[in-house]
Amino acid sequence: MDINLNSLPIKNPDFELTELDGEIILFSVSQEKAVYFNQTAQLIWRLCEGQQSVSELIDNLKNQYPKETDIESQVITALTEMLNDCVISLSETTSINLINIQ
Amino acid sequence: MSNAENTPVQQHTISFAHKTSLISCSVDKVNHIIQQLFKDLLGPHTSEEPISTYKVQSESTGITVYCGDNLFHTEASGDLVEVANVLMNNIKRDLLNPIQNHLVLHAALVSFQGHSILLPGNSGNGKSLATLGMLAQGCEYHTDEVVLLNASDNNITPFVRPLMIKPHGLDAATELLGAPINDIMVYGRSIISLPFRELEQHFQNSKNHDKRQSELLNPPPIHTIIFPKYDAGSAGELTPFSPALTMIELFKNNVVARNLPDLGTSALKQLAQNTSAFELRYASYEQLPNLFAQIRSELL
Repeated sequence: MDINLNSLPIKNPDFELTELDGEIILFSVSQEKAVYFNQTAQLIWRLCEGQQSVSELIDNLKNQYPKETDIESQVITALTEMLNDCVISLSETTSINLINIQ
Repeated sequence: MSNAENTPVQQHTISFAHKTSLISCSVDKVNHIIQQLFKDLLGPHTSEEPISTYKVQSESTGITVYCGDNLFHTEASGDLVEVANVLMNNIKRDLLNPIQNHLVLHAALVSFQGHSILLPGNSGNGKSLATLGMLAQGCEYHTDEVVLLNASDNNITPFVRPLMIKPHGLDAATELLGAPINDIMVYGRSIISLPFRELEQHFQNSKNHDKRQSELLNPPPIHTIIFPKYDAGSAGELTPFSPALTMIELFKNNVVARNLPDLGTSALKQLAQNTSAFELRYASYEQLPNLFAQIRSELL
């Protein structure tokens, strides 16, 4: 799946958040679906407000966690899984800066 | 072609969670297996309209099963256990679908010294072998298939039936429970039925019959949840599960979620938060006794 770095990830409002001991699960009653998030996915999902692009989101996380390596691939992997689970959508802006995920 | 003869029709009323299904069967040997398989679900004949009606008879094509007026299974091989198993699977679905206000969990349930252990899992996860392993260690059996959990009062209701194993699990079952089970098993082409009462006698842990019968239908509260996972490369591990992971796994095994307005999420959350949960990963039945010793230390 291609993730456009200029696209704006935004949460799917069908999913409701349930928190258990610091971990979160998203539930959609209409889709009869539940998705478990690890700490990384949780952090990224919370930033999907439709306000910042994927590349901005990556840059912000790099600034926030300067010692963390591989942030870009972690974000792309997490967003790809979220798209597959339909818990976010991407609002496309341009078609440049595509990253290909196997 | 069936060589079974039609005999006078026998009627069996199958009851579960206040719903009934009716079987009219004119094949004597099938009647016998129905009595064995549905022993703990047979209810009195009532005037209440059954949720479904089945008719079993011998025809030139084989043993036929009708649901209402519709033919839905012909057993040309004459495998009587297969016929009874088809009935079991369909009647289970009929009786579970209309259930309201309950979690309907695809799970086995055993109990040990006043604590119930729930073993959720889909077919092929290793649930049956793990259940057998627990019986071999002195646990008492309630079901290997479905557990209802009342979302209001947490009462649990097991769908009590004989323990069913696939033919490829036969060697492991014999190793776990001992050779005498060969005499009590009922063999079908795709399923083997093990009458748990005889298994419990074999292990000499049966209590007073009436008390045990009462406990069979009214198990103690759930203390621990074990998610069995057959894994060919595993060394045998019991790994604690967080409440969130527990909830997501329970969600996957809540098979009639639509009977609760929130898909049972609030009830699942409560269960996940209040119950210890583990993943039991194993590659061989030989690992099960040690793993059960760890589970027992969690219980006591």
